[in-house]
Amino acid sequence: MNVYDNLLGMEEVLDEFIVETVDLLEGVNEDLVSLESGADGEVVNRIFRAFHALKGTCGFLGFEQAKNLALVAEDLLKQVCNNELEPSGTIIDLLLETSNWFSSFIGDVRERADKEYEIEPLIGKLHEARYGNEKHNEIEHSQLVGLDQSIDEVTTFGDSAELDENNKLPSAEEAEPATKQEDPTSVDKSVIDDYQPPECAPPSDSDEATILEACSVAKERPTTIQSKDGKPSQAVRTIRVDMERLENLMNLAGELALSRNQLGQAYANLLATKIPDGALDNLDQVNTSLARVTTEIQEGVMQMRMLPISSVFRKINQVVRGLSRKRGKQVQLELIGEETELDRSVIEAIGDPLLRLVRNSVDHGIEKPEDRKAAGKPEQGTVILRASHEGNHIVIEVEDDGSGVDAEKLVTKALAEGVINSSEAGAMSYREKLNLIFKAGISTAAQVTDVSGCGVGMDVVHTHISKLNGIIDVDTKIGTGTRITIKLPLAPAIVMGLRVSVWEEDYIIPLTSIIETAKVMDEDLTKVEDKWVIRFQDSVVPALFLDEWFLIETIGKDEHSERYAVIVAVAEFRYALVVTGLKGQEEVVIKPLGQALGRIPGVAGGTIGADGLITIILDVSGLICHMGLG
Amino acid sequence: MTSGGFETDSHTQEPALSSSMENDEAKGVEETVFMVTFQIACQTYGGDILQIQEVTRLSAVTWVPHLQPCIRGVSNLRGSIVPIVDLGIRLGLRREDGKEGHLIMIARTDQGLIGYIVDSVSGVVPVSRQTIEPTPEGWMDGDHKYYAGVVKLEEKLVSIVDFSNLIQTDQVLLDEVRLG
Repeated sequence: MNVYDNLLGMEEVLDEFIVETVDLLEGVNEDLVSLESGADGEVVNRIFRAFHALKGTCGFLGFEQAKNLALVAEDLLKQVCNNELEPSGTIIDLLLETSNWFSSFIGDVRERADKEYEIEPLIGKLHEARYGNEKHNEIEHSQLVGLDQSIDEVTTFGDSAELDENNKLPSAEEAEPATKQEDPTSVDKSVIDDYQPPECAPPSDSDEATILEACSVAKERPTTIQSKDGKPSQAVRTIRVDMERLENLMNLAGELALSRNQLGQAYANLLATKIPDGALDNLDQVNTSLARVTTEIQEGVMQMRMLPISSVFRKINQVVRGLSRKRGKQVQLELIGEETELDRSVIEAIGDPLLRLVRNSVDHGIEKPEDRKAAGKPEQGTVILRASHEGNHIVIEVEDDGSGVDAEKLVTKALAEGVINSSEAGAMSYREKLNLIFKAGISTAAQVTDVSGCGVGMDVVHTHISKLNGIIDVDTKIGTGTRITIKLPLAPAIVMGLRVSVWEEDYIIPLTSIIETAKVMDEDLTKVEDKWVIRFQDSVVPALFLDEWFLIETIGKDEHSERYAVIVAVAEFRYALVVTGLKGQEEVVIKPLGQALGRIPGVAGGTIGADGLITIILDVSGLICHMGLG
Repeated sequence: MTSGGFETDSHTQEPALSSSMENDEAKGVEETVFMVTFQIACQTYGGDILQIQEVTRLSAVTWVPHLQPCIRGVSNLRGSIVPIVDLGIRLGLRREDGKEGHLIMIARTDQGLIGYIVDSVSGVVPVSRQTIEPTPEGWMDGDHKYYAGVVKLEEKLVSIVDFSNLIQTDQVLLDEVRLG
């Protein structure tokens, strides 16, 4: 019998459950990590309440295994709450493991996959941690479970018992009737049977407080922040908004800005004609205030999509912890600039590549303590994750003080894997050799581990970053460490671009890809093996004529007219795009060209100018890829 | 009953419509659908009014490379970028370098809005669904799936264009192989 059969028609409830649980788990992971570095009882309480809520909702929805696991974890946490158990590293590890299990479980729920899980070993370990050095009081435990289950019902349905305006917890009288409002069809009979009236097992004051807290756990976390002295601090009020609505709003804000520009233009035209003095004063005022409000709306909408990068960083923190323990290495992760904000979609896309980079650092960069000691370094290695804003970009650095990358080793490996041949290897500069790290099938790890070193690390990172219009750079010194720098646009929808002309047509090249521009002299251009190359500084880069790409008629055009090269970087490689004019930088909103056209190679989208005309925005990496230059 | 939509064979986009249609047929109810009539190359065609969002004048079109010849480029429709398709070329009615129409019918499709260039739009006519006949087999060299049917209008046969089936995204790129 599929558990989802019972939940037919409850799609919304399930979706809500997924969203809330993901939030909850995120909080748990953060709290667990902070617990390890020593935190107060409030953190433990929060974790406890989270598992308690999980148990309630999972039980309510009929996810028996999940409920049981949450129950055991909650049990363990209760001990910690009551200071009967020290939150040791083992316990935190176990709880992290539990939390991870729930994460994958939620993934299955999202797919509506009803599975049988192997959770007994984990439950066993949790039990062991709980009862290992203490006699198990059977009676007390069963009472506790009975009581807790009654709390579950209060929690599950108590969500509908709203908190009052000051976010105060509902009183016991208010919370109790909630159990009676249950839909009779969804009440688990055994729960009612197990329910012990408070008279049978009179709860202590602190128990009651726990119940009440548990009632509010789902609501409390996002809405209030308790300051350390227990007084409620200023509430952070948030609501969930559908991304699509936000996107729509952003489109409209862009439209508004467009209309503002057109109005400004119309106003300027009016001024140019002969109109009596003062006749347009009113219009001038309206025009000015409209312009200001529009700008603010646009910025406001944009800010709504911005999130601090801390959520990504924390996740990485957790992984580093586990990984360093597993590898027998001492690694300290330093997080700098966690508050740096960037667009939600970039946050989502950057998590995976960053994780890979940090894993690489821990796995291959940082040496074993004894090796570090021998090399005269502190036994504990350091990995620094640093985020900062730089103009309209965000710069993320992953730096370690490990062994560094040996470019020659990369070459040897690349030769062995057949990625390059020996004549190519001979012609490579140091930088090019180092960039081999981004080629598929290359890994410097002496042995393949389960986390990284299986040869699919850096090339995936490289692909991800290219997709985000970003640049990635490696800087390394053997024996001292490695620094990888990623530079990304803040929001994918806003593009700082260079407007170039190709004969009569205009195009926009995203500034993130551009290294620099230069005037092209005829003697700089040469053909090598049927392909155009251009001399740029000390190197030779492949040249791409944009008029050729856009199939623009060049017959009858002056062959010797001025040409400019826009030097672009696709990840770590450089190319020259040849155009006929440079018009200047502008900030544009990128829009899709319409679903019907699908993905057109070399075209990232279009933007609508103040004149209402559409200008094509180039997708530099796609362009390079399709020209067979990559 | 004003809900319409022509029978569009198995490619029918709106299941709700087709099911209501079956019911009506079963009951033998006379159903009227509304059809926009327009002209390309001096011939009149029809289209389901429910597929058409609006008709606008052709404004500046930005050329996009490497697409099928029938796709003229993209145009700005109140802040959205909409692909512009020359319907005449798409239906094989006119040579590529022929005279171009100046009106766009904006059609709602599964792939978003698409603008189709036509010469002129003459009006909206009510048509009884029972009088719509299936497109003759082998018509237009296998292109019959671009038509939802034919109907007799003032003693002339008018083909009804199914706007939802005209552009297949995977066929949009002209010459990907050559580029690679």
